[in-house]
Amino acid sequence: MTELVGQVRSEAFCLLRLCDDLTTFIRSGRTKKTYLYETEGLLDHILQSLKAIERFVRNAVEEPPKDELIKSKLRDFGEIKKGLSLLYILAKQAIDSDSLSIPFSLATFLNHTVRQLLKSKRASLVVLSGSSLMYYKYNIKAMRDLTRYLSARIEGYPVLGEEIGILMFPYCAAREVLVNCNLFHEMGHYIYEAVRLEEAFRNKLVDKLARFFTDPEIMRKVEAPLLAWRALLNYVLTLMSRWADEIFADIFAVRVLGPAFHFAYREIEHIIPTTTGRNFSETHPADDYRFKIHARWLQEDGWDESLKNNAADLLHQLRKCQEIKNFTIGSKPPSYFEPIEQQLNDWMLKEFDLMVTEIESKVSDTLGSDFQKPIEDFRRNHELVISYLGHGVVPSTCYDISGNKSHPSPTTVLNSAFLFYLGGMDDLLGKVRSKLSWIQKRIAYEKRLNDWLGKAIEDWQILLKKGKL
Amino acid sequence: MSVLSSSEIRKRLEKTINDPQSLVITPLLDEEFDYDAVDIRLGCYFRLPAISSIKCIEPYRESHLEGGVAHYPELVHKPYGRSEETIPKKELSEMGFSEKDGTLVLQPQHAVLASTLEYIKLPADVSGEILTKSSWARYFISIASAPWIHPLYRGCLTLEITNLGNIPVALPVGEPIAQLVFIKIEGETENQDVIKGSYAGAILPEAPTFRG
Repeated sequence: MTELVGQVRSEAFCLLRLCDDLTTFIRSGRTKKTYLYETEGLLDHILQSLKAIERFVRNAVEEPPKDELIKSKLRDFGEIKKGLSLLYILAKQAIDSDSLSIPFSLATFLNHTVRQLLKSKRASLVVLSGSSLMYYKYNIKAMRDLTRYLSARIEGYPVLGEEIGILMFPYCAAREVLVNCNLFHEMGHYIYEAVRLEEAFRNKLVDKLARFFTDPEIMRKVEAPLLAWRALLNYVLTLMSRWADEIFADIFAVRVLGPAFHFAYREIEHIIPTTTGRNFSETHPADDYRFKIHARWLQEDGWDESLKNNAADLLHQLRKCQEIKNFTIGSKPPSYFEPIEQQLNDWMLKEFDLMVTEIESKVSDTLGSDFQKPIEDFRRNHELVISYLGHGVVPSTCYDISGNKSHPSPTTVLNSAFLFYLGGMDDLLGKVRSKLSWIQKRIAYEKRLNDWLGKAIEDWQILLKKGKL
Repeated sequence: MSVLSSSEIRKRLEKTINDPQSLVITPLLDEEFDYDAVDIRLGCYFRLPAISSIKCIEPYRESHLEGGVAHYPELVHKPYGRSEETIPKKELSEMGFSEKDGTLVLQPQHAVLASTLEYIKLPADVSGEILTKSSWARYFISIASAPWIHPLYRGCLTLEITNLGNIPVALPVGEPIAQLVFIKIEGETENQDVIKGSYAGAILPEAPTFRG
């Protein structure tokens, strides 16, 4: 038992040291910087967690537990270690993501949008810069569960709220606005989780799969133990749930933002070429499948005419994608099921199509009947935004030829700016008198364009706060 | 040369951007102007002359931008709405946040570069001059040592704010700090829209460039 008491002490000292180091790191990092309110909230959560752990561990050392409780203390320490390792990673990412290191006005606009859509003031998207060249929604479910476990054992340990979502973007894209339109897709993942669709889809799939598995023809072809059937069930559920999540996020982004999301996705595709073409991967539906869905919703929401006039090639490509019917699945089911692999894949793809129809109506339900399609503001203001950008002016207050004033919405600014970026930059560069080469000018003014967009989105939010819209 | 009146300013503001006489000031939070000037507000971005390991800045030398000089003075961001209660405290706490004071304080005998909240674009036939608002001047705050703005300039303006007094002064983001006066140029002017100068189109107060 003395040995165990010693172990409690030595683990306690290690935990206390780590808590102290992390607290110092966060406090000193925060001194000079400004953060999104949502990031401030996350940093506060981490500091509160550290404080609660420190108190709990200190008590354990100062009042050594009774013999029979020592093992349970050590178990708690084990869970605390897990919690600390998660906090350790998050603390660094949050401290690095001050308001100059993220697309600040876009992040505040995402939060404004999510609060409006969910009709909840507490909905919070923390936007953090990550070291991967990918956009993703941080999976904090494990962390949230752990905080629940720890809060039941440690007095004052805060539970990480359901309303907090963490979106990651590549750190070097901090001053970009256009490519960061990919964050609308990540916001879609957050909504998917918030409206709890995953469970509903899983339950339906389990029923359908049970019918597929018990089909006499399938049973005849496969000889597999019960465990293998369970593994297959898990395989199918995992893949289809992930695809459903991705398609939901795609439809959500296309509907809430418009074609700018599609453009941004294609932009990141140039940097990280994907090979999925018509092949569904373990995590994502095939790109061509996604584009087919993008095309459907861009058409449904009335974007066709604008795309025809401003990005005819792209519209043509999207139409082509809509004609594609044959897709494949890149991953393999457990080896017992090789004889029915093709049949299984066909079944999964057919069922997924049905799921997509349901997902589409879920997105519409989530957006609600009062949802204002971004195309409406775009139709009113697109030409003005293009014209202002062409003169190197932030398009937050625009006047038309009759002297009518308008403040284009951030979604219009983003959609129009993407079209401008794809086809209108030469007009702007033609006005620039400089000794720089054309390529240097292009690079300099792409940066300027992103700055103007950030400013236009910020101005719109300021005007909204001031009741000027 | 003559100073534009408020009605002339308003007339030019309402012209579409393709009109060579158009003037842009955005966002314009207060549409009531003085008779001959427009209030300009403090923006969200600052550059502070922080303690640096740079030995010496050598303008016009080839190596001028090496060794971190391109990032001197240091950029600081104070978001709009943090120093005033545009989100009421009660609402902030409902959202789960604590209020953090975002105001920058300028110490006596210190200077800072700041951007204006407004992005402006001048017409081809108008120059601008930026002046310290008199209330600020009475606290010994000076906002510009290079106050002249050329025709066709576009961008947020960079203010060189200096506290010449002996008491620290808070710089509240989003509040009026300067006045912009517009002067009509007589005679021939540029007849097409051209973008000139290293700082054209800037949103942030940019670090200086010396191009010979």
